[in-house]
Amino acid sequence: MRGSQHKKESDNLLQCIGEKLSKSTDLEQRSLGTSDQQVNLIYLKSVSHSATVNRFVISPFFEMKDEKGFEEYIASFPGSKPSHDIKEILELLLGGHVGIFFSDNKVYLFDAVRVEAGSVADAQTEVIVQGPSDSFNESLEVNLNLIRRRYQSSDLKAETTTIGHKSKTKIAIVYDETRIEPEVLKELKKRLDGISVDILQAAAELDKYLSGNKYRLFPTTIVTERPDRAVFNISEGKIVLLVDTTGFAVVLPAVFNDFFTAMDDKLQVLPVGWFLKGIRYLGLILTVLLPSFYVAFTSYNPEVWKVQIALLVAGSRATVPYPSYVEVLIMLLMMEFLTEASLRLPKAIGPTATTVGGLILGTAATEAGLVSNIMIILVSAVAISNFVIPLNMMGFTIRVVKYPFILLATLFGLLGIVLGLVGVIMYLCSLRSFGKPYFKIFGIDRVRITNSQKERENG
Amino acid sequence: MNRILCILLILLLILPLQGCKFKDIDLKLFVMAVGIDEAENNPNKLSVTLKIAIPQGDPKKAEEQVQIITEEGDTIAEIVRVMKSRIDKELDFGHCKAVLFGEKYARKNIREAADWTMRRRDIQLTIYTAVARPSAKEVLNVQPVTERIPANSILLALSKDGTESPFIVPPAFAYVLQRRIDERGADPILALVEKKSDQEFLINKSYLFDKSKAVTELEPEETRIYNLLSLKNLKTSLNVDYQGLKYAYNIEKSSAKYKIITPTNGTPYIEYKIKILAEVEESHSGDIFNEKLLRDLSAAAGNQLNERVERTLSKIHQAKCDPLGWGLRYQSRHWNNSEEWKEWEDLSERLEFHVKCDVDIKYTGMVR
Amino acid sequence: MVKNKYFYYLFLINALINVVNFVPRGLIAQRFSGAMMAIVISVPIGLLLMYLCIKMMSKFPGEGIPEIFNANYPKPVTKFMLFGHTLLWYIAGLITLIAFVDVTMRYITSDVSPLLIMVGFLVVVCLAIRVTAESILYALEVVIIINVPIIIYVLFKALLNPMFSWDAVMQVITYSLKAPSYGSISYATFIFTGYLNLAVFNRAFKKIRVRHIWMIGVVGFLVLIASVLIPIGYQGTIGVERHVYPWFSTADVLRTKNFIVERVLFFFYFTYLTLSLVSSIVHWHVALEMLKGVFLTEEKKKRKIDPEWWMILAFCIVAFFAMRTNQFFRDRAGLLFLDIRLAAEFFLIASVYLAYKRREAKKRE
Repeated sequence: MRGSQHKKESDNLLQCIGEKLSKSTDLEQRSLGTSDQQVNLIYLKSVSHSATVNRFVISPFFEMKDEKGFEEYIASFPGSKPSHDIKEILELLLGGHVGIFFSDNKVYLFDAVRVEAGSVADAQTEVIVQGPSDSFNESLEVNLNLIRRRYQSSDLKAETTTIGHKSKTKIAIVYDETRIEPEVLKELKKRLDGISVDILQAAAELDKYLSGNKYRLFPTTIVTERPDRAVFNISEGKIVLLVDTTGFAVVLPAVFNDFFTAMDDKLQVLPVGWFLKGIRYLGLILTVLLPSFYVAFTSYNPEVWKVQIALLVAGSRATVPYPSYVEVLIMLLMMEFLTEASLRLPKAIGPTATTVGGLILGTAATEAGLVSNIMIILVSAVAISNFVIPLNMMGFTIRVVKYPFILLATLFGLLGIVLGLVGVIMYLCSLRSFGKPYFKIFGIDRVRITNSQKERENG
Repeated sequence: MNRILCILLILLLILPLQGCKFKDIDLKLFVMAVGIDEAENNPNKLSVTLKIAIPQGDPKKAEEQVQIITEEGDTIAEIVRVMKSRIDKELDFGHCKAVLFGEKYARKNIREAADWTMRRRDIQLTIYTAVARPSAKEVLNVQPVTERIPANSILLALSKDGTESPFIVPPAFAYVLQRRIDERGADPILALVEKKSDQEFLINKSYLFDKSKAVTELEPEETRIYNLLSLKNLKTSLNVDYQGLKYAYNIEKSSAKYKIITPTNGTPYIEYKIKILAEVEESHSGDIFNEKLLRDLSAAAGNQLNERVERTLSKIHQAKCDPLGWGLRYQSRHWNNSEEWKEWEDLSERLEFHVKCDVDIKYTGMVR
Repeated sequence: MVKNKYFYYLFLINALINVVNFVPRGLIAQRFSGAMMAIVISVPIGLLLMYLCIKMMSKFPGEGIPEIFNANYPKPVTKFMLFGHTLLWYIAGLITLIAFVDVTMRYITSDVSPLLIMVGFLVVVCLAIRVTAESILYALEVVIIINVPIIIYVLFKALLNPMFSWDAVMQVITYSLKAPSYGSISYATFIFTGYLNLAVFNRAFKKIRVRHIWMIGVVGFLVLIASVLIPIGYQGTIGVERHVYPWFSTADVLRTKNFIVERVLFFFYFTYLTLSLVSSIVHWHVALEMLKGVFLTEEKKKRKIDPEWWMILAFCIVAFFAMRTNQFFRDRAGLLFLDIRLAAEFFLIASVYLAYKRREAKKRE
């Protein structure tokens, strides 16, 4: 009597789930065995690995012929889990588990998750010359593996949580327990709890939700695809968020300087490293300020230049029919179009776009007298120096930042540029990345903390 | 979203604000040099000449184009305003590098012209000043063949960035001119630019000023001695007669120091000590140099230079000018602030000069 | 909480900014009547005041003047004192800004209307004074680190120029034995006034302690000497008086052959504009906090618009009115401010000492 009641309950459950998942062509529902020893299987073909199911669930069942033994066999698998909660079962089914309903009313969820992820590929967006070239891929386990292998310490913790009402994206918070600052972790967890979105598909998106202020201009977290950068940052006392299904990790808290560090810098001889870093900052200054300086000097302060250059610019601008700022804007926008176009184009067509845009358009524009010669030099210098910045997030920001400077230069001339600079410095200094100051000229403070911690660790 | 709209609206409202005075570089004409003369027919009026560069599109072509305009009036400012209606673009003095005073004008008073250059905001303080003969207008009309940027040749010569002639006095920037006009115990000295032909000018003399009035002209030789006294390591060669033969030595290093000495009884004098390290550049004797000859030659050179320096100094002294700043030096070494200027005025009347030239000809050049 | 090194930046910004704040002009006007002696005397006075102030403020770790006064003095007294200090700090920032509008008009862009320039300054400054004291200190550090090399370059360029007249400098030095006036001492001590910003910035310091205070004395002395004597070396002992902004004229004298930009003036302008803006931000931040101490002592009520904005609006309106004054009035007002400032400094330090005594007495009860 009791058995039949149980039976009924289990069937109800099965039926209920079947209804919930109806109209899904990938739903697989099977009954195994004889009438008295019946085991029901339910899973989604698309997320569960069919071969695993066949090999580890169906075949053993028929080999054993004994339901009790089979149940013990299933329960002993590391990924198996008994459950009766319909919500939990449903979630796990959607996550790729196989629901196994035994006749004695027990329900096991067997882990047969099928992960469709590419193998560990070379880094695409942060290419370096020397050093490891592997990158994170779309699987959380693989990514954790990449980190663990590089950071073999029991202090390395990895907590997981999920974000996204629909996407249920898994996120691993990875950090070195002894080196992080607890306030940062607390702050991070608070903010993660506060996130309420349906779908989370990219690490950069997470970065956007985490930082709170929508109108913020600079990235306050690093989004990276390089495991070595993640590991390096963990050792520096930072927290790495691994986001399942994205292939990128988020590192926080970040300071401004981090965006100008390439992973090769560590490999270089010290003076060479300094030189490279210096070049990047120089590139930053050039790409932001060159166009606005051009506007300020041609329109307000031609006496700043030496005579030769002043006459040269005046001469080459003689045929240009509009004011300097329009000239600059036209050429810069052209350049932005070119960058965007070559970014999205298939690799085979990309070079054509650059040739047509860069070479033919530029030459023709000067020949026609629509832009001055100097302008072409300037725009290319701006474009090139923009690409010096190693992290794309910052690169995109910098691309935008130069336009306000042009506006200021048209309004105030040289004065406007200085105003803008002070404004930007004040703004950067007022930014905080998870409670840590974002822009400080000496990062020494942090290094010292880590040093003292290293000593503590060594005893 | 509303906030963004508000910001955009404000930006749009700001943009017209700049429109009124915004002037691009191609709408400006760069004045390269200014010449100030007395008006030809009326000594109470001024005549101003501007040398204006016309920019060209192709930097590879090396032909310079200039426009020179002259106008007369009562004040410089007035004249410049009048000129604006004669040209199509805005005049810009930001690149103006030289102000030339016509000789006649300089002999009268250059105070107002100096004041104008200092006061006008867009004229640099490092503008070169010089006296022009016969007039600033004619000198500005000279077009040297080697010139690639308008009026650049005068600048290069005056600044000594190009040629390093020993006959050109150290650059008298506008601020130096003004400072010496104002200072107690120092007077301006300006280079004299002469027109030789339509394509050549000559700068080898200088003009001594008594404050803002040009007084005496220094001959090339005297100008060179002045340079030797006021500059370190002057690049020049000097001649020396030794046993009836001519030799020339090239100065490698030179330095001049002076002290104002006031003995309690006796005439005050200025003691100049000039140290020169030199090498032989030319010899008319044909002998091979030996140590003794070199030593004797040095001594002879020192003696002859003594004489030349003394002659120049006394000429400067007689002109009652103080281009070397002796008065300032005297004041700066005395702490009795209220009397020192009177004392100096008194004793500068009867000043004498003791010159000790220490010429050391060390090398004989590539041959003995 | 920030480190003690930020105190040096507070000192440095004031020491460097003196060039626009009428200090050289005031001292140069008295170069033949005791300015040199005033410079010498100002060093011990400045250092003593600085030492006392640090000592006093370290008794109140993490607290600013508004908190200290509000806790230890009766309300009307506090309000009166805070309001007075607000005025002084506000004027300090305002003088810098107005002077720089003037400098910009004279040397850089006469094409932009002064009103628009002021609007530009005010937008940057007013947005910046609302951020936390720590952020301002970080920005201060960045700006100083960027600019000090440029300043050193300009100084070297100035001293190594053959046109520099050492005789003129010596001539002024021979006037050292004259007795200085109160005015010239108060101009000279302005160099050291940076410490006074602790009045509010003390909030960011854990417990202020400054080592090597003698070094500040040496640096201050050198800065003063340089800012008075270098213009004299270029413009002459008499001619220097002609210049409205002696230091900008001096920078205009210098040229460099190595850059696309030939005139050192532009480097100098860049440096001093950034420094002035940051200095105004520092001063007005203090002013704003003081003013908040006057009006916002009660528990914060939720209002639609933050009352801070009304204060900032008042700052701006006064600034626009101040723009209408003429050149000579500004000179006088600037120098008068420097005079009053020295007295107010003594007063502030004394009042903090009294507050300390009162607190101790309260504790004993």
